[in-house]
Amino acid sequence: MATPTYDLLESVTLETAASSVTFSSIDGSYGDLVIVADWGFDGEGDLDIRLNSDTSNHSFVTMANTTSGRASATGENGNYIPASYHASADSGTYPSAIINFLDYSATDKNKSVLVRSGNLASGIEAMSGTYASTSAVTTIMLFSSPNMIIGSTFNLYGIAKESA
Amino acid sequence: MSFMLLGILNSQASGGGGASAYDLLETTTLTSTASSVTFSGLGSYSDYAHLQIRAVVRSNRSSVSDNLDIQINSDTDNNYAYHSIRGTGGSVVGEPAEAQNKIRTESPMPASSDPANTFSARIIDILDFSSSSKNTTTTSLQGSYPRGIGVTSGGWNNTDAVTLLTLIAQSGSFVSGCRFSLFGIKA
Repeated sequence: MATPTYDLLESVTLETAASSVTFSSIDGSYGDLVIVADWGFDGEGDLDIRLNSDTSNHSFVTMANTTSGRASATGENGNYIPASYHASADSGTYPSAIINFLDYSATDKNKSVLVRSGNLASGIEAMSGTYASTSAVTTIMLFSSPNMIIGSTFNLYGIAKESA
Repeated sequence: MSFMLLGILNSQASGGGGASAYDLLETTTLTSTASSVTFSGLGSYSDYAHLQIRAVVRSNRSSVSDNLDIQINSDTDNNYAYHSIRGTGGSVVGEPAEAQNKIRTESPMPASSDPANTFSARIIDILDFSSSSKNTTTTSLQGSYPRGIGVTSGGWNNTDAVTLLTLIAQSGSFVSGCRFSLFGIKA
Protein backbone atom coordinates (compact mmCIF):
# COMPACT_ATOMS: atom_id res chain seq x y z
CA MET A 1 0.00 0.00 0.00
CA ALA A 2 1.32 3.41 -0.96
CA THR A 3 2.41 5.59 1.93
CA PRO A 4 2.42 9.35 1.35
CA THR A 5 5.70 10.80 2.54
CA TYR A 6 8.26 13.60 2.06
CA ASP A 7 7.06 15.39 5.17
CA LEU A 8 8.21 18.88 6.05
CA LEU A 9 9.66 18.58 9.56
CA GLU A 10 11.16 22.00 10.13
CA SER A 11 11.71 25.21 8.24
CA VAL A 12 14.22 27.93 9.10
CA THR A 13 14.47 31.37 7.51
CA LEU A 14 17.21 33.56 8.92
CA GLU A 15 15.95 36.84 10.32
CA THR A 16 19.46 37.88 11.33
CA ALA A 17 22.83 36.91 9.89
CA ALA A 18 24.13 33.67 11.41
CA SER A 19 27.15 31.40 11.13
CA SER A 20 25.17 28.21 11.77
CA VAL A 21 21.74 26.60 11.67
CA THR A 22 21.04 23.53 13.80
CA PHE A 23 18.29 20.94 13.57
CA SER A 24 18.20 19.08 16.86
CA SER A 25 16.10 16.36 18.52
CA ILE A 26 15.37 14.99 15.06
CA ASP A 27 12.50 12.51 14.82
CA GLY A 28 14.10 9.08 14.27
CA SER A 29 11.07 7.43 12.72
CA TYR A 30 11.88 8.19 9.07
CA GLY A 31 14.21 6.33 6.74
CA ASP A 32 15.92 9.30 5.14
CA LEU A 33 16.22 13.03 5.72
CA VAL A 34 16.56 15.72 3.08
CA ILE A 35 17.63 19.31 3.63
CA VAL A 36 16.91 21.83 0.90
CA ALA A 37 19.11 24.86 1.52
CA ASP A 38 19.12 28.19 -0.28
CA TRP A 39 21.44 30.69 1.29
CA GLY A 40 23.72 33.68 0.77
CA PHE A 41 26.95 34.88 2.35
CA ASP A 42 28.23 38.30 3.33
CA GLY A 43 31.64 37.35 1.88
CA GLU A 44 33.33 34.40 0.14
CA GLY A 45 32.75 31.06 1.81
CA ASP A 46 31.44 27.51 1.93
CA LEU A 47 28.69 25.72 3.82
CA ASP A 48 29.55 22.61 5.84
CA ILE A 49 27.65 19.84 7.65
CA ARG A 50 28.39 18.42 11.11
CA LEU A 51 26.47 15.52 12.61
CA ASN A 52 25.75 14.92 16.29
CA SER A 53 28.14 17.76 17.28
CA ASP A 54 31.03 15.37 16.57
CA THR A 55 34.26 17.16 15.67
CA SER A 56 35.79 14.11 13.94
CA ASN A 57 34.68 11.02 11.96
CA HIS A 58 33.40 12.95 8.91
CA SER A 59 34.92 11.89 5.55
CA PHE A 60 34.00 12.87 2.01
CA VAL A 61 34.73 12.78 -1.72
CA THR A 62 33.86 15.73 -3.98
CA MET A 63 33.32 16.24 -7.70
CA ALA A 64 32.91 19.62 -9.34
CA ASN A 65 32.90 21.57 -12.55
CA THR A 66 33.68 25.19 -11.75
CA THR A 67 34.95 28.29 -13.46
CA SER A 68 38.42 26.92 -12.63
CA GLY A 69 37.79 23.53 -14.28
CA ARG A 70 36.97 20.05 -13.04
CA ALA A 71 38.13 18.97 -9.61
CA SER A 72 37.79 16.15 -7.10
CA ALA A 73 39.08 16.04 -3.54
CA THR A 74 38.79 14.04 -0.34
CA GLY A 75 38.79 14.68 3.37
CA GLU A 76 39.13 12.07 6.09
CA ASN A 77 37.96 11.96 9.71
CA GLY A 78 37.45 15.69 9.91
CA ASN A 79 34.82 17.83 11.56
CA TYR A 80 32.61 18.33 8.51
CA ILE A 81 31.16 17.06 5.25
CA PRO A 82 30.94 19.91 2.73
CA ALA A 83 27.69 21.15 1.25
CA SER A 84 29.84 23.35 -0.96
CA TYR A 85 33.55 22.97 -1.52
CA HIS A 86 35.01 23.90 -4.92
CA ALA A 87 32.23 26.26 -5.97
CA SER A 88 32.70 28.76 -3.17
CA ALA A 89 30.14 31.50 -3.09
CA ASP A 90 30.84 35.20 -2.79
CA SER A 91 28.54 37.91 -1.53
CA GLY A 92 25.75 38.56 -4.00
CA THR A 93 25.58 34.94 -5.15
CA TYR A 94 22.99 32.53 -3.83
CA PRO A 95 24.05 28.90 -3.63
CA SER A 96 21.57 26.08 -3.20
CA ALA A 97 21.98 22.49 -2.08
CA ILE A 98 19.92 19.33 -1.71
CA ILE A 99 21.44 17.22 1.07
CA ASN A 100 20.34 13.60 1.57
CA PHE A 101 20.94 11.58 4.75
CA LEU A 102 20.13 7.92 4.12
CA ASP A 103 19.36 5.49 6.95
CA TYR A 104 20.20 8.34 9.33
CA SER A 105 18.67 6.59 12.33
CA ALA A 106 20.12 3.11 11.69
CA THR A 107 22.33 1.78 14.46
CA ASP A 108 24.05 -0.85 12.30
CA LYS A 109 25.52 1.45 9.67
CA ASN A 110 27.86 4.39 9.36
CA LYS A 111 25.85 7.25 7.93
CA SER A 112 25.77 8.08 4.23
CA VAL A 113 25.31 11.60 2.90
CA LEU A 114 24.75 12.68 -0.71
CA VAL A 115 24.88 16.35 -1.73
CA ARG A 116 24.18 18.21 -4.94
CA SER A 117 24.93 21.91 -4.84
CA GLY A 118 26.02 24.87 -6.88
CA ASN A 119 25.69 28.52 -7.63
CA LEU A 120 25.47 30.48 -10.85
CA ALA A 121 28.70 32.36 -10.29
CA SER A 122 31.18 29.57 -9.73
CA GLY A 123 29.90 26.11 -10.63
CA ILE A 124 28.15 22.87 -9.80
CA GLU A 125 29.29 20.02 -7.60
CA ALA A 126 28.32 16.81 -5.84
CA MET A 127 29.63 15.23 -2.67
CA SER A 128 29.39 11.86 -0.98
CA GLY A 129 30.07 11.78 2.72
CA THR A 130 30.38 9.15 5.40
CA TYR A 131 29.94 9.77 9.09
CA ALA A 132 31.85 6.93 10.74
CA SER A 133 29.42 6.29 13.57
CA THR A 134 26.61 3.80 14.06
CA SER A 135 24.79 6.18 16.41
CA ALA A 136 21.51 7.55 15.12
CA VAL A 137 21.78 11.09 13.81
CA THR A 138 19.82 13.37 16.11
CA THR A 139 21.50 16.71 15.41
CA ILE A 140 22.51 18.28 12.11
CA MET A 141 24.42 21.56 12.09
CA LEU A 142 25.04 23.57 8.94
CA PHE A 143 27.79 26.11 9.50
CA SER A 144 29.82 28.61 7.57
CA SER A 145 32.36 31.34 7.62
CA PRO A 146 31.47 34.12 6.90
CA ASN A 147 27.91 34.49 8.10
CA MET A 148 24.87 33.45 6.14
CA ILE A 149 22.66 36.40 5.34
CA ILE A 150 19.11 37.34 6.28
CA GLY A 151 16.60 35.44 4.16
CA SER A 152 18.65 32.25 3.85
CA THR A 153 16.28 29.27 4.01
CA PHE A 154 16.75 25.70 5.26
CA ASN A 155 13.96 23.13 5.05
CA LEU A 156 14.21 19.68 6.65
CA TYR A 157 12.09 16.82 5.25
CA GLY A 158 11.54 13.24 6.37
CA ILE A 159 11.06 10.32 3.95
CA ALA A 160 9.48 7.11 5.20
CA LYS A 161 11.03 3.72 4.52
CA GLU A 162 8.32 1.58 6.11
CA SER A 163 4.69 1.51 5.07
CA ALA A 164 2.27 3.20 7.44
CA MET B 1 14.89 15.97 -11.12
CA SER B 2 15.74 18.68 -8.63
CA PHE B 3 13.19 21.02 -10.09
CA MET B 4 10.57 18.30 -10.08
CA LEU B 5 11.22 17.45 -6.45
CA LEU B 6 11.41 21.07 -5.46
CA GLY B 7 8.01 21.50 -7.04
CA ILE B 8 6.69 18.74 -4.84
CA LEU B 9 8.31 20.26 -1.82
CA ASN B 10 6.89 23.67 -2.52
CA SER B 11 3.45 22.18 -2.94
CA GLN B 12 3.67 20.44 0.42
CA ALA B 13 5.15 23.40 2.21
CA SER B 14 2.39 25.69 1.08
CA GLY B 15 -0.25 23.32 2.38
CA GLY B 16 -2.00 23.23 -0.94
CA GLY B 17 -4.26 20.42 0.21
CA GLY B 18 -3.72 18.25 -2.86
CA ALA B 19 -3.06 14.53 -2.87
CA SER B 20 0.44 13.33 -2.09
CA ALA B 21 2.77 13.45 -5.07
CA TYR B 22 5.54 11.32 -3.53
CA ASP B 23 4.63 7.95 -2.05
CA LEU B 24 6.58 5.07 -0.56
CA LEU B 25 5.54 1.94 -2.49
CA GLU B 26 7.80 -0.85 -1.19
CA THR B 27 10.90 -1.42 0.92
CA THR B 28 13.20 -4.43 0.90
CA THR B 29 15.72 -4.70 3.73
CA LEU B 30 17.97 -7.73 3.41
CA THR B 31 18.20 -10.13 6.34
CA SER B 32 20.79 -12.26 4.50
CA THR B 33 23.08 -11.76 1.53
CA ALA B 34 21.54 -11.55 -1.92
CA SER B 35 23.13 -11.22 -5.34
CA SER B 36 20.20 -9.17 -6.60
CA VAL B 37 17.00 -7.46 -5.51
CA THR B 38 13.93 -7.27 -7.76
CA PHE B 39 10.91 -4.99 -7.76
CA SER B 40 8.20 -6.69 -9.84
CA GLY B 41 4.59 -5.99 -10.70
CA LEU B 42 5.41 -2.36 -11.42
CA GLY B 43 2.50 -2.19 -13.87
CA SER B 44 0.24 -1.74 -10.86
CA TYR B 45 1.93 1.63 -10.23
CA SER B 46 1.03 3.11 -13.60
CA ASP B 47 -0.82 6.00 -11.97
CA TYR B 48 2.64 7.36 -11.10
CA ALA B 49 4.75 9.16 -13.68
CA HIS B 50 8.17 8.29 -12.29
CA LEU B 51 9.81 5.86 -9.90
CA GLN B 52 12.63 6.55 -7.48
CA ILE B 53 14.79 4.02 -5.65
CA ARG B 54 16.66 5.12 -2.55
CA ALA B 55 19.17 2.46 -1.56
CA VAL B 56 21.88 1.94 1.04
CA VAL B 57 24.21 -0.80 -0.19
CA ARG B 58 27.43 -2.70 0.45
CA SER B 59 28.88 -5.82 -1.17
CA ASN B 60 30.53 -8.89 0.36
CA ARG B 61 32.98 -9.10 -2.54
CA SER B 62 36.50 -9.92 -1.31
CA SER B 63 37.89 -6.67 -2.57
CA VAL B 64 37.67 -2.94 -2.03
CA SER B 65 34.57 -2.31 -4.13
CA ASP B 66 31.79 -3.72 -6.27
CA ASN B 67 29.41 -2.29 -8.84
CA LEU B 68 25.64 -1.98 -8.70
CA ASP B 69 23.96 -2.67 -12.05
CA ILE B 70 20.35 -2.32 -13.20
CA GLN B 71 18.40 -4.53 -15.60
CA ILE B 72 14.85 -3.83 -16.77
CA ASN B 73 12.09 -6.36 -17.51
CA SER B 74 14.65 -9.20 -17.20
CA ASP B 75 16.30 -8.08 -20.44
CA THR B 76 19.85 -9.49 -20.43
CA ASP B 77 20.69 -8.51 -24.00
CA ASN B 78 22.86 -5.59 -25.03
CA ASN B 79 20.02 -3.09 -25.11
CA TYR B 80 21.35 -0.64 -22.53
CA ALA B 81 23.65 2.36 -22.56
CA TYR B 82 24.96 4.61 -19.82
CA HIS B 83 27.16 7.63 -19.36
CA SER B 84 28.75 8.51 -16.04
CA ILE B 85 30.82 11.25 -14.52
CA ARG B 86 32.68 10.32 -11.40
CA GLY B 87 34.89 11.96 -8.81
CA THR B 88 37.56 9.64 -7.44
CA GLY B 89 39.10 12.03 -4.97
CA GLY B 90 42.01 12.69 -7.31
CA SER B 91 40.33 13.40 -10.61
CA VAL B 92 37.00 13.63 -12.43
CA VAL B 93 36.49 10.95 -15.07
CA GLY B 94 33.74 10.23 -17.60
CA GLU B 95 32.76 6.76 -18.69
CA PRO B 96 30.43 6.20 -21.67
CA ALA B 97 29.23 2.72 -22.53
CA GLU B 98 26.92 1.60 -25.32
CA ALA B 99 25.41 -1.78 -26.23
CA GLN B 100 25.62 -3.02 -22.67
CA ASN B 101 23.60 -5.70 -20.88
CA LYS B 102 22.99 -3.43 -17.88
CA ILE B 103 23.06 0.15 -16.63
CA ARG B 104 26.03 0.50 -14.29
CA THR B 105 25.63 3.11 -11.56
CA GLU B 106 29.15 4.50 -11.24
CA SER B 107 30.79 4.94 -8.65
CA PRO B 108 31.22 1.59 -6.93
CA MET B 109 29.85 0.55 -3.55
CA PRO B 110 32.06 -0.49 -0.60
CA ALA B 111 33.01 -4.13 -0.24
CA SER B 112 34.72 -6.42 2.26
CA SER B 113 38.07 -4.63 2.29
CA ASP B 114 36.49 -1.24 2.97
CA PRO B 115 35.89 0.09 6.49
CA ALA B 116 33.30 -1.90 8.44
CA ASN B 117 29.71 -0.62 8.54
CA THR B 118 30.33 1.75 5.62
CA PHE B 119 27.63 1.70 2.95
CA SER B 120 26.99 3.58 -0.28
CA ALA B 121 23.91 5.76 -0.75
CA ARG B 122 22.15 5.67 -4.11
CA ILE B 123 19.20 7.66 -5.46
CA ILE B 124 17.99 6.26 -8.80
CA ASP B 125 15.19 7.81 -10.85
CA ILE B 126 13.33 5.93 -13.58
CA LEU B 127 11.45 8.48 -15.64
CA ASP B 128 8.21 7.90 -17.57
CA PHE B 129 8.57 4.25 -16.66
CA SER B 130 5.13 3.23 -17.92
CA SER B 131 5.35 5.04 -21.24
CA SER B 132 4.99 2.82 -24.31
CA SER B 133 6.28 5.45 -26.73
CA LYS B 134 9.69 6.26 -25.25
CA ASN B 135 12.85 4.35 -24.56
CA THR B 136 13.32 4.31 -20.79
CA THR B 137 15.75 6.74 -19.19
CA THR B 138 17.31 6.72 -15.74
CA THR B 139 19.40 9.11 -13.72
CA SER B 140 21.25 8.36 -10.53
CA LEU B 141 23.42 9.97 -7.89
CA GLN B 142 25.58 7.63 -5.82
CA GLY B 143 28.65 7.58 -3.67
CA SER B 144 30.51 6.74 -0.50
CA TYR B 145 33.82 7.51 1.11
CA PRO B 146 36.41 6.44 -0.03
CA ARG B 147 34.93 4.95 -3.21
CA GLY B 148 33.89 8.29 -4.71
CA ILE B 149 30.89 10.20 -6.01
CA GLY B 150 29.14 9.63 -9.33
CA VAL B 151 26.26 10.68 -11.54
CA THR B 152 24.94 8.32 -14.19
CA SER B 153 22.50 8.73 -17.07
CA GLY B 154 21.16 5.41 -18.31
CA GLY B 155 19.00 4.26 -21.19
CA TRP B 156 17.12 1.09 -22.10
CA ASN B 157 16.47 0.92 -25.83
CA ASN B 158 12.95 -0.41 -25.58
CA THR B 159 9.57 1.32 -25.54
CA ASP B 160 7.88 -1.32 -23.38
CA ALA B 161 6.51 -0.17 -20.07
CA VAL B 162 8.83 -1.04 -17.19
CA THR B 163 7.22 -3.76 -15.11
CA LEU B 164 10.27 -5.21 -13.37
CA LEU B 165 13.53 -3.73 -12.07
CA THR B 166 16.48 -5.81 -10.94
CA LEU B 167 19.38 -4.36 -8.96
CA ILE B 168 22.46 -6.56 -9.20
CA ALA B 169 25.74 -6.72 -7.32
CA GLN B 170 28.20 -7.27 -10.15
CA SER B 171 30.78 -9.53 -8.51
CA GLY B 172 29.63 -10.27 -4.97
CA SER B 173 26.35 -10.09 -3.10
CA PHE B 174 24.57 -7.34 -1.22
CA VAL B 175 25.16 -7.82 2.50
CA SER B 176 22.52 -8.19 5.19
CA GLY B 177 21.14 -4.81 6.18
CA CYS B 178 21.15 -3.34 2.68
CA ARG B 179 17.97 -1.34 2.16
CA PHE B 180 16.10 -0.66 -1.10
CA SER B 181 13.03 1.61 -1.02
CA LEU B 182 10.82 2.24 -4.05
CA PHE B 183 8.86 5.48 -4.36
CA GLY B 184 6.27 6.70 -6.86
CA ILE B 185 6.19 10.30 -8.06
CA LYS B 186 3.07 11.73 -9.64
CA ALA B 187 3.11 14.22 -12.50
